[in-house]
Amino acid sequence: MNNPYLAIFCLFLFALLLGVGFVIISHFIGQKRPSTAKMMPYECGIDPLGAPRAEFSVKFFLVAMIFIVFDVEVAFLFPWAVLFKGFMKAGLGGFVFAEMMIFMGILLMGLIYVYGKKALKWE
Amino acid sequence: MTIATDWNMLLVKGLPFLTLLGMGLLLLVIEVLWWGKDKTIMLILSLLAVAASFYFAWDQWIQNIPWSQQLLVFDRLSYIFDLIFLFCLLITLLISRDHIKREHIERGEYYALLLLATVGMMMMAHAGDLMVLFLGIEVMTIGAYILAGIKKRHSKSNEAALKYFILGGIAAGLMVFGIAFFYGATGSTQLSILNQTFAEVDSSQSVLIFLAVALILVGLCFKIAAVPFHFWSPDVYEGAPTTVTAFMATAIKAAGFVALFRVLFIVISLTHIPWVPLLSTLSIATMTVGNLVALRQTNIKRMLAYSSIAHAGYALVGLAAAAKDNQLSEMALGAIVFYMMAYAVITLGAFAIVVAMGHRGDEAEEISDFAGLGQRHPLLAAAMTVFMIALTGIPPTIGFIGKFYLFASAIEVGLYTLVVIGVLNSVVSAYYYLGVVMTMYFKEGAVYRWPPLAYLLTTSIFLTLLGTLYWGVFPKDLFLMAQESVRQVIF
Repeated sequence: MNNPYLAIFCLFLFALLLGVGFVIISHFIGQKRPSTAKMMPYECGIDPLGAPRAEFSVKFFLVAMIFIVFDVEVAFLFPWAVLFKGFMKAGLGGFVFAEMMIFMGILLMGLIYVYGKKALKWE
Repeated sequence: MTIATDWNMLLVKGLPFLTLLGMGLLLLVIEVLWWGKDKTIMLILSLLAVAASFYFAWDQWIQNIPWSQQLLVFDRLSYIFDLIFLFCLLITLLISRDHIKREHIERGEYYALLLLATVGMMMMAHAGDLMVLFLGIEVMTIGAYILAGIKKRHSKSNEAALKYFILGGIAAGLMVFGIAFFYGATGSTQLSILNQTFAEVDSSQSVLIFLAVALILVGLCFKIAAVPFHFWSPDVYEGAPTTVTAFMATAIKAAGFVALFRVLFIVISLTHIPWVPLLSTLSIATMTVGNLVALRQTNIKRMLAYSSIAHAGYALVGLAAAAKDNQLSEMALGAIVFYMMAYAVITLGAFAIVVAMGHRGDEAEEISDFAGLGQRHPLLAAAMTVFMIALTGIPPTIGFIGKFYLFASAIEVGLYTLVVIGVLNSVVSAYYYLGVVMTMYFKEGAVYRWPPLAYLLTTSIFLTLLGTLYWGVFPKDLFLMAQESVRQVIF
């Protein structure tokens, strides 16, 4: 029980108990006199306008998802390009090049699919 | 920087999954470039890829040159599971055509995702590194999520996909957490290095390893739907298209078991974990809950879902037997491999008949829909009877042989209580399996004729029926093959 982190754990535990304890105690012994103004989402400030859940077109998500895929591709390409000269010196240029081409080839198939499914069209 | 891998060797050894991978990608491209409406070409190409892949895997199994490339391993265990997955894929493809046509889900993605999910399973079977194992699980389940929800306008299908996704995500999270703990404790995720580490140092004091094992086991138990991690499976099996359910109940379950094997081979030497009590408890809970809840089901897909939970429980009996003495015994492992084959053959057959029963607008998923089938379609009813008694475990079917080997391997190591509970469970399961038979022969059903069966569907029912009965009478070759497969496992 001489773990140096024990003290930190105790601190977290104490903080948690304190925070939760106050809420629980005030729930039980506090007085409740609800009124219209108190029950609103914000007791003070501007009155809420409209429902909080606005609808987005699903196209935004689609584009975002496709973007992530090709963003990751670029993220892989950068270190590859930086290290490529080193690999060439070590005589592994062809191998490393072929490997990246395979990777990009697979992603190219994905691009053809996405394009063919008209997921990139914004209508 | 050393790249010591023999790339030609890797190419040849990896052909079974490279073929499927290539064809899966090709199908996606064909889907958008193909001008015709007819998707038969997709089915033909998928079947060709399965045939080629089957040939390569079979060839490698025969050659039997175990080879490890650190990230991927190639031994008979992985190839036999490749063959099991390919068989499941083959039957799924054969029963798919009519079903997906009448459900309006016939697109290239369906075939491509089936193929790519199988690639993920094969990666699990060939995993030599925990990260590859995880990658395989993800490739497999992401395909399965989409397939479960492929009926886009069907609320039950959407529900299935979402439930599967959320629970699958939790399982994956737990598993990655476990892998991270392994890395923290040993500095590696490679199975061969983990194996050495466990052999050399006494790691039994490490809390990290204990946590890692626990988390990974929980993650994998989600995949094989072992109680208490089974809650997703009935809803998902019910909501997903029947053909996809067939694929999930057989191939994904087998993939979960091979992943369990790969991990257990390494961690079984940890003496401070009570393996036999742990796996026995898991097994008893899985069998009992699966069977008892199945008794009350009226939907055939839910019934088969609970039955698949129960069968995972039986297979875990073998795993408990294998784990005795802190090393996996060959006989029990062979029995599990054999059971996976037996279960796959029978269950695919049963699902093929469920597909055959449906027609446009009415999928006939209630057990009461089978009423009167004995008079109207005697052959179909006879085939269903064979599958049901095979699932119960009555000779002369492969189901009996599978259970026999499993329980025999448990008797061998003295787990008598476990076997008694297993046998009692089989008796309980007879009630609901034979209930289907009773409904078919002794209940009056609606009077209308089923359309004649499609060729592909008939072929798949015939194949599974043949397997169930032939290997039920002559199980020796298949059993020897299963035994051979676990003899020389490498990391």
